[in-house]
Parts: sequence; structure tokens; C-alpha cells
Amino acid sequence: MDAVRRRELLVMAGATSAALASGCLGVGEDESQVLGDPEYAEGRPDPGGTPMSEMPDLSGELTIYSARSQPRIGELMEYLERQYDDLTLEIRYDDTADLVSTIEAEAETPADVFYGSETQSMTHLKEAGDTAALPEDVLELTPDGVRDPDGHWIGFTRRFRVVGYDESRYDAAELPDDVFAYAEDDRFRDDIMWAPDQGSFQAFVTAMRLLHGEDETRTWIRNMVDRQDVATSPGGDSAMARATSDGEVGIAFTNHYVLRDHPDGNLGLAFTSGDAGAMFNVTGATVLADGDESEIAANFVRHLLSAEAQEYFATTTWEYPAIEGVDPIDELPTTDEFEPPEFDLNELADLEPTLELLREEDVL
Amino acid sequence: MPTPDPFDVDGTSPTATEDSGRDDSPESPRRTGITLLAAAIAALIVVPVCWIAIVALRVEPDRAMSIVVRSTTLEVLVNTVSLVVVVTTLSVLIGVPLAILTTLTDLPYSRFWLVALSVPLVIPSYTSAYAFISVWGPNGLVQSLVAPLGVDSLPEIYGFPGTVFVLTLYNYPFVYLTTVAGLRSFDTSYIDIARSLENDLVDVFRRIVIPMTRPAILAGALLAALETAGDFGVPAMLRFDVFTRQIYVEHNALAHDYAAMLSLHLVAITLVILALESRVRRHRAVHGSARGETRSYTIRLGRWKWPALAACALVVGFAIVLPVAFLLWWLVTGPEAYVGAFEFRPEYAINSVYVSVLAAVVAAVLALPVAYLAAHERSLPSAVIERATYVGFAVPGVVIGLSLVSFGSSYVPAIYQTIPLLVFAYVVLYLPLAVGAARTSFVYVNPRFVEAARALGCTPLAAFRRVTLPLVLPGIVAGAALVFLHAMKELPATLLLRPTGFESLATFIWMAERNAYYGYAAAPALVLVCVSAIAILGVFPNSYVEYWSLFRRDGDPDGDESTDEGIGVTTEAERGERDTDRRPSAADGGTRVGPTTGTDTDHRSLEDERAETDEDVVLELADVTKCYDNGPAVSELSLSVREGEVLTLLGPSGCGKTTTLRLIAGLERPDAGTVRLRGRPIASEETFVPAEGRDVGIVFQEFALFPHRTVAANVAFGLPPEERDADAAVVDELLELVGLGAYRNRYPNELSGGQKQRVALARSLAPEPDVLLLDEPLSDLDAGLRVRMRETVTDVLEAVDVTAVWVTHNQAEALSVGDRTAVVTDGSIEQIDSPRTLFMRPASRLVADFLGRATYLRGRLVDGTVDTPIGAVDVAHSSGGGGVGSGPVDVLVRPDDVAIEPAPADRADGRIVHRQFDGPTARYRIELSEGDVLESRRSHEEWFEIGTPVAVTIAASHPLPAFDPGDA
Repeated sequence: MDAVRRRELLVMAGATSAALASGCLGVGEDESQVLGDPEYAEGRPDPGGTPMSEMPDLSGELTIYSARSQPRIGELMEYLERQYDDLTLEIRYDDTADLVSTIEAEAETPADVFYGSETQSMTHLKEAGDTAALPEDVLELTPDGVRDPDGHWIGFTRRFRVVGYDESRYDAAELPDDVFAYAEDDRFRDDIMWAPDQGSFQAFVTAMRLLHGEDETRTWIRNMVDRQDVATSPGGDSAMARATSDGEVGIAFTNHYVLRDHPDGNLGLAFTSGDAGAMFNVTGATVLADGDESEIAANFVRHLLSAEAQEYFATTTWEYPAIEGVDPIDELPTTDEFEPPEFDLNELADLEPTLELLREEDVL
Repeated sequence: MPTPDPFDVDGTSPTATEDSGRDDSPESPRRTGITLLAAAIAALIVVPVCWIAIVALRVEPDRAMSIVVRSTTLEVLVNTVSLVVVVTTLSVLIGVPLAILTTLTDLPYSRFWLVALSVPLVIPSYTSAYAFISVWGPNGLVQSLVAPLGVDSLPEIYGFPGTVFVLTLYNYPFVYLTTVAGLRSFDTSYIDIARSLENDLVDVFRRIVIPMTRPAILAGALLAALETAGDFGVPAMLRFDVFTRQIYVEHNALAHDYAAMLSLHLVAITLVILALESRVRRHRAVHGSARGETRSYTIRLGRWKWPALAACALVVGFAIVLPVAFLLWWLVTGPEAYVGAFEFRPEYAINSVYVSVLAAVVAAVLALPVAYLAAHERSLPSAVIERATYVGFAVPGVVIGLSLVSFGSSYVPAIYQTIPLLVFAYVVLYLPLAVGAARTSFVYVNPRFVEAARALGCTPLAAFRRVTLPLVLPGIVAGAALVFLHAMKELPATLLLRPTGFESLATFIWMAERNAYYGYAAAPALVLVCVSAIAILGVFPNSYVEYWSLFRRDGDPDGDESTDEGIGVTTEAERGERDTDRRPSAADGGTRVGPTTGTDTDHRSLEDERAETDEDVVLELADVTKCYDNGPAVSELSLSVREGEVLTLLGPSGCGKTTTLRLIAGLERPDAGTVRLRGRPIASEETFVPAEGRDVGIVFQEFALFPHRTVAANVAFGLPPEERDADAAVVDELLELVGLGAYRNRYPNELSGGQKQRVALARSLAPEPDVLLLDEPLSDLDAGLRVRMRETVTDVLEAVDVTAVWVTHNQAEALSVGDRTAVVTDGSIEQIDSPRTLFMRPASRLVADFLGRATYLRGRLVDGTVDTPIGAVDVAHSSGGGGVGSGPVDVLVRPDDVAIEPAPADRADGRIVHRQFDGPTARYRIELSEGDVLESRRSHEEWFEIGTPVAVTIAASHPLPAFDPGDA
């Protein structure tokens, strides 16, 4: 995909959304309007799953505390509002910690829905008694692994931990499919980067503790530091992805969706198999117990599992849809090409021992 | 003229400087009111901080212990403390020299540098830190540039060095700005004088400049230290483990009780910093000269010009050009990813400006009482209240934000997630910026201004509104501008407390940078920097004088200088002449020819004067006592002033004469005794009429003309509100009377000393006071002018026939202007009499010594005649046994009373040992054979060499006073 065409499309999309925002066009009737990144949305097969038109209408005013940012979901939220005349979405974009702390500090939260970018925050809210269970007909839209066993939260998309690598330096076939090998293989000495202050990295370490035990995790960290002399990302996952894409570092422990912002560089994705290296977390939502609009809130959650929304996520945020019937984008491997570990995502909320471990090993 | 002492602005009367912060001052009830108000504000600010403690206390004890004893805690503490110490020290080391460079030297383009060097304040650290990482980080710009040269690794930007570097670069402006303000506020003539005394420039800085700007430097260092302790973004991005970073980690781990506990550590560090600061802060009395000196002093840099320019350019380059260049580069490379509905809207900028302006205004208003109290009262409550407002500044915004989330949603749900609560959060975080700036300007307002206003009939509130407020306004605006700048870039509290859906520049930039979409962040970040850079001009209020002058020039149609007799180029000396030429026509009666020609003085003895007083006494002090901490300034002093007379109070520095004047004016309340004005008690055990309630005018030594008002408006100041008009007839009359009709639209800083003096006189006379008080009115003038002005002032006093009390330490002045003179020593009146009587018949050796030169001739009194080494002398009166008995006495012999002529050694009484020529006369000191020393003043026509043997005779035709030898 050449940059010129991309730029043109961006301009077009910008003009269209501006026109929509100014109210010139009818609600959702503009056929040329493509939901999501047109560069990737166009030419895909029609998504499976339930279209919005088969879901109950949304109406009223909902307040959503969103830990997902506006560049990621803003367009989808506006699309939803355009579909329903009577729907107003009050969206508070902030980061996870702010929103969770806010909900905990608030005497009574004005939020109806908490929209999380990972599960730890939702588990945290659930354990604090701030959430309500979702109705069964919403829960059953997704398979078991991406929702709370008690039904208090549900995932919309899956995000995988990956080994990002410089395609010019490594061949995917030669990369280990065992995350522990990365800490011992001399090929990677001085050539690995991680981002220990990122929540997604910490969740990965938590998963490693759960799946492989604390001792093995500690050894892995020590080896990474002592043997491989791992570098720390200058600015989280995005900086790490750029460093890999630009060939400055060979291996990065990161998230699969960073590929979205570097589709044209040297960044390749490798998955380990059956260990914490291939774990996934989900973005999703929970309905808050304090809200007085729980039925509409649950219906809002349902809409994010619609065919349109799932297709939007697949093409625009480059995440793995939670429902059956919508495929991930072609640029990503399908989930049957590797083997994610299985565990209850709620356990990722047990973060404190992870932080303790990271502090003890002097990486945080 | 006394040598200027920068730390004793009031010079002649050290006791008087101590008064204004006193608990027992007349304003006590008002002070209490302000204290309560300030305390309420401080409490409001501290509430969110207290919440942190409450949350922290909820942590289970064993968990709490585990945090406290965590192995890293000590390291984090050491890191935090060393970061604060090093950054603050470096900020001072950079900020102070830069401030001196831009204000006191001939640095090229100094006005540009002045502003440019403060601009780092507007760059958000979340932008600048990223820019630095991009440039210096591993694989950054610099690395890629030097890699071909074989440089494998650069000095680490992460950790301590990088964090110190970036924080210093963005925190030194606090020190820089306050130091610039301090340097601009004090009278640089001190430097000139000091430099003329000692040539070493370094010494001048060490002994004059730095000590005088110390309060300003400290204020800036305090802000820099607190900002460093509380900075959230830079240590996090540069991975230096300090408390804020730990708080950030815990916050992200959703352990906000841990975060609160760690914040308590930070609060503790803050309290330590504040305690240290209060121990080193020297208080008050730094207010500049009221004389409005122009800042002419410039250090010539010479060949140091280039290094100086390079230093400025280096700082500006790193702190401003680099991050801005980065923003521009991002802007040019443009948006790089699909972001759907995410786009920058101009309303975000408007939102930012809107809430920031609100925060600035609210902070400025709330800062007023706190700053006023801090500047005027040196007490524990005042110190605690002021420091309390600083605590929020060092606590990360996220902690304050969460605290207000809890508070707002629980107790004031109506304003939760609304603009008012967001604005309040900004106030909690940034109030000290406004308090500091306002306090400094209060400190620099000469208290004489307020006293002058009070004496002109203003209530304390009116004096504040009409004088203090306009003068501190630039400082308050500067503080508000600082709050504005910080609110513009504030992020964590904004995210937590903004109304849902409310986006600002900062939140938009954050959202873009969070997703690494720097192209989208560039435009709003540049808007933020530009808007803030405009606002930073508000941090540089030109001194009020310049400001008001400019304002006037714009709107004044008759400001044509050329019609003004070329006054713009006249020198001080020429003006002095003009003073004489323009002597008011009303004074031509010559009714007062001065005591020297009055042949009746001998008859008007003390007893005579007393006899005729009762009826026309205007002012009476009876047994008035006033004590300060270091003892009584005035003790049991009594005097009365008659209608139309000029009474001079003469005495050495610290004798209590100025305090007496202030007691009469109502600026002090006596501890005992009564003051009556026209028979009505105005101060006694039971009553106290404050200054504005007394018909008493006062002219201060430093004139205390209101710098923000024209000459005419100064004169009109004390008129009743309905007549208070610069065009009032009485203003014109008075200005004509003092010969300044042509200057009515000028500002005080455009006048010469003599002209200011006359304006001050006219201003005090405008409300037609019963008594006019003059406190060393001529002491601030140079010698030649002083003598001419003496005449001018007495003429004016005569013309309006006002009763006056005139305080001076200059005996010639006292004797020449007074109808009567009271010699004051140690807080009481030694003698009160006509000047001639005082001179010729001093009641004590003390009075004799103080008036003119006195030498004494030992002798023995027998029947009214004293037998001395040079023969028999008639004596008029004698203290002790004089006149009634006989015995040894000392006869007072003035140089004018002694005649000498050369004589052969055998007939000589002594010989000349010293000669001092002063033009018209020469004064000879003669050592008599018996060892006594006499002085003789001779005409310039007689000339004797030192060593000449002379015969000495008493030339006086009047009897001389004699004193008991033990009287000395």
C-alpha cells in the first residue's frame, strides 16, 4: 500500500466525518461511508455474526467511562449514535487507572458502562462490587474464554502478546516458539527490548507466574537482564514497535496490534506456543451496578458484539474479534496458527506480586 | 545625607520600621478578619491534601509496613531528596546569573532574552521529555549522528542525569522570574553607591545585589523545589525512581491506597522544604525606594558579551527551540495513522483558555488575603497559613484530582465533573504561584504609601483599594499569568475532573501522544505553546510607573513636552534654581523673618510662652508613652502646639521624634497618655481615632507620592469624594502655590526631588488639615537644594497659615524654620523654646552640644561672674548651682563668641592647633595653656597658621550659659 493513496483516503475520510458531524447528511444513510479504516475495511467478505439491525434499539443517554481512547473507538461510538436518533453517548476518555480510581472514589458513579482495554481493571471493579452481571443473551454471543465466568464483563476483542521482530534480521521459522528460549538463546543477546512499565507487559508477567510459577518467572527475568542485557523501551509499546520496524532492535516483547501503526516497516510478528508468550487479554466492557440504565447499558454492550462493530475492530484496531464469524485482518495470522495458553483472565488482576517481583529484580 | 542602607529603608528612625506588622497596631481587628479569611482559604486548599492522609490511613497496617520497609523505599527517598536538592541548586545557579545578565548588563537584545528565557515554563514536560528522549535516547537523533564517528554510546539520558537535566531546564525559570522581579524592584542606586565605595564587582554582588534579591531568589527556589518534588511526567519518562514515579506505578496498578501512602511521603518532603525555606527567608523591609529612581545602572560585559550570549542561546536552544522544532517536525511529517473520528477542534483551545483564565482569576483573588497577611505580619499563624497553600503544589495532580473526585462526588455532587471543581483543582495545585507573586509585590510596596493615604482620610479598606491594590496589581497579574500557564498544560487533574466530553489542548495532546500519534499532537501542542507564550508577557509587568505613564501618554491630548519650558533636559541644579525663582507669590509678605532677627527672643522666655498658650493650643500631647519590643521609643512626652506656629522636633536618630509624629498622625497608638486635637482627645486610654479620622496631614521624608497617579491626582487624593477631582480649583491653587502648575499631568517618577517634595506638601495641604506633620521633609534632597527648599516650604506653610510639626535631625533646619523648637532625646523633650533661646540659653549641656558647636571653658562662679583661664566672663544662668551659689562651672563658649589675635608667646593664652576653612569663615581650634580647648570662627579675611600663639577674648556681648561640671 503506497503512502500517497493512504493519505488521499485519510483526507476523504476526514472530509466525510466532518460533513457528518455538521449534520449535512442523513443518519447512517450515506452509502459511501465506510465504518473503520477504509484501506483495510474495503474488499473484505461480509462479516458473520448478528447485525445491529437484528438487535434491540438503543435509546436514552448512556455515560461511558472509556479506557480505550478516542482514536480507537471514537468513530464506532459516533456511528452508533448515528444509528439511533434517541441515543446520546456521554463518553469519558481517560486511562484505565484514572477511571477505575474514579469509580472507586465516587460516592455514586454517573457511569453506566466501563469500557476497558484489558481485564484487570474490570476484574478489579467486579471484586469491589461495582459491577452487575450481564444478561445471558449478551454473554452467549461470545465463546467462553473471552468473558468473565460470572458474567460481569465480556470481551469485544482479543489482544495477543507477540514477539515483534525485525524481518530483515530474523527469519520467522528460526525463531523459538518457547518464550523461555528468548532468555537463553545467544542470538538475541543485546538485541531484545521490553517495556516493563506497561500494563500489558505486567499482565504478561502475571500470566507467566500463573502458568509457570514464580521461580521460573524470576529466572526468566534474571536471564533477560543478566544474559541478554535487555533494553527498556524509550516510550512504551509504540516506541518499541518503531525501533523494531526501523531495524534498531531485533526483538521486542510487545502486543500484536502495534503492527497496525507500522504496516510498511520491517516489523514482523512471531507467536510462541502454549506459554505466557502467546497469552491474550481482551478489551471489553462491564455494566456498573450504580447505573440506572442497566438494560440499555447491556444493550450497548451487545451492540459492540454486532457484526458491524466486530468488523470495525478487525479492520481498524487490528484486534482479533471476540465473536465467531468475523476474521482478523489478513495481515495477522489466524488463531489456529498458534496456541494461546488457557486460564481465567480474571487472574491477571493479581498484579501486586508481579510488581513486587519486578521491583525485586530491579526492572521497575 | 545618611548613607543609604538597603536594609533600613527608613534610615533615620529604625524603630519606626518595625511597626507595621505589630499585633497591637491600630488595625488589629482588621488583621484578625484578614487572618480568618486567609485561614479559611488555606483550609480549603489543604482539604484535598488531608484526604490523602485519610485514604492512606485505610491501608491495613501490615500492608502499610510492607511499603514503608520495602527495600526500595530508602532508595526512592534518597533519589527524591537528591533530585530536589540538585535541581533546585542548579536552577538557582542558572536562574540568578541569567536574571542578572538580562536586567543589569548591556547584553545585546536583552529584552528578547528577558522574555525568551522564561518561555521554558510554557513547554509541557510531557512534550519536552519526549523530545529529549528522541534526541538523546538510545538510537536517538544524536546517536545516529555520532554513530558514523565511532561513538557507540552516549551518556545515559535515563536516570538521574537526564532527569536533573530536563527538570532544571524547565524549572530554572521560577528562580529566573522571581529574581528578575527582585532586581527590578530595588533601587539600583545602592549598587552605584556600593560600587563607588569598593571597586570589586564581585564584592558588590556578594554584599549588595544578592542579599537584596535573596527573598526573590528564595521564593523562586521554593517553587522550583516543590515543582521538582511533585513532577510526575519527567521522572516517569526518564525512569528515575522517585516518589512520583512510584505513585504513578501504584496508581496504574489500581492500588490507590498505596499511591496515597506514597503521596504522604511526598507531603512530608514538602513540609520539610517549606520549613527549611521559612528558616532562611528573611522578612520584609525590602521595599524599594519611593523615589522612583530610573534604572541607569548597567554592567558593561565587554569581551564577556559573547560567552553571555552563548549561554543564553544554549539555554533557549535546549529548552525551547529543540522541543518546538520537534513539534514542527511532527507537524510537517504529519498524521501517520488512521484515527477515525479523532480530530483537533479549535474549541479545545478555547476550552483550555477558558478554564485556565478562570483558574488564574480565582487564584489571584484567593491569593490576595494570604499574600497580604504573609507580607504584613510576621507571626506563626501567618507563616502556617501561607505555607499551607503551598502543599498542593508538590502533590501530583492525579492525587489531588482523585481526592477531589471523592470529595466532589460525596459532598458537592452538583459541581462534580463540572468546570467549577476543575478550576478549584487548578487553584489547589497552583495557588502558591499567585501567593508568591502577590506577596512579593506587597513586600515591595512602601508602607508609607498606605500611611500617606490614611493620613489623607482613607479608611484602611479605601487605602487598600486606592493605593495598595493598583500598586500590587502588576504582581498579581504576574501570579495569575503563572497560574494560567500551568493550568493550560495541566493534565492529570484535568482528565479526572473535567466534565465528560470536555476536551482541552492538554487532553487532546495526551490522547494523541498516548497512542504515539505525534503528528496529531503537534498542532495543539504548538497552539498551547503560542497561547502560553503570549500569556508569559503578563509575567513581566513593567514597573507600575512605566505602565501608568504609557497608559497616560496614549490618552493624554496635552502631553506635549515642548510647551514645558524644556524641563525634560534641565538638571537637578537648574531645577533647584527654578525652585527659588518660582517661590510662591503668596509668600511675599515676609511676615516671618525668622528668629534670628527677633530681638524679643530674650524676653520670650519659656515661662512667657507657657503663660499665653492655653487659648490657642491646637494640638496637645500629655504624658504620651509608646514602647516597642526594644524599649520605650517615647516616654511621658508632653508638648503643645499653638495655632499657626511651626514647631520643630529636633533630635538625633532614634530619639523618638518620628514616633512622636506617628502618634500624632494616628499611625501609632500610644501605650499611655493623651493626644488632643483642638481639645478633643484623639488618643487616650479610652479612645483612639485612626489616622483617617484626624484632620492631620503628613509629609514623609521619602514623600511617598503615589506612583500610579499624576501630580494633580496626587494632590486631589485627600479631597472629599465629591470634590475629588484632579481638576478641582483647590488642586490648581495648591499647585500654583508650590509653583508646579505646569506639572499637573506628570507622574512622580518624572519629577525632581524638590518637585516631589512640593507635590507632597500640596497633597497634604489639600484637605486643609488642622495640623501638618512633616517627617524629615528635606532629608532626601541634596544639600544645596535642601537649603532652598527650606525656604520654599516655610513660605508655603506661612501662606496657608497652617499649624505644623516638623521633625528633623538637622539643627540648622530646625532652628531656621521653627517658631519654636523642641529638642528630643531618648523619647522625651529635653527643652522646648524659641530657636534663639535654645541656642543662646540651652537648658543642658546636652542641648548645647546638639545645637551648633560647643566648647567649654572651665572656671569658678563667683557672684554671677566666672573666673576663667582667659579672664572673667558674665554668665546668664547656670544649671546646678549657677546664679545662686558659687563653685566650679563649665561656661559654654560658641566659636562665634570667641575672638583671637596673634600675640607674643608670653602674652598668648594658647596656640592654634587646627584650622578648618569653609569659605565664608574659618574655624580655629585653640589649645589653651591650661589644657582647655576652645574654638573660634573668624571671617575669611583673617588668616592664621597652625601653631600661631594667640590671645583669646570672649567677643559675645550677651552673658554665656554655664553648667555644673558634673552635668556633662
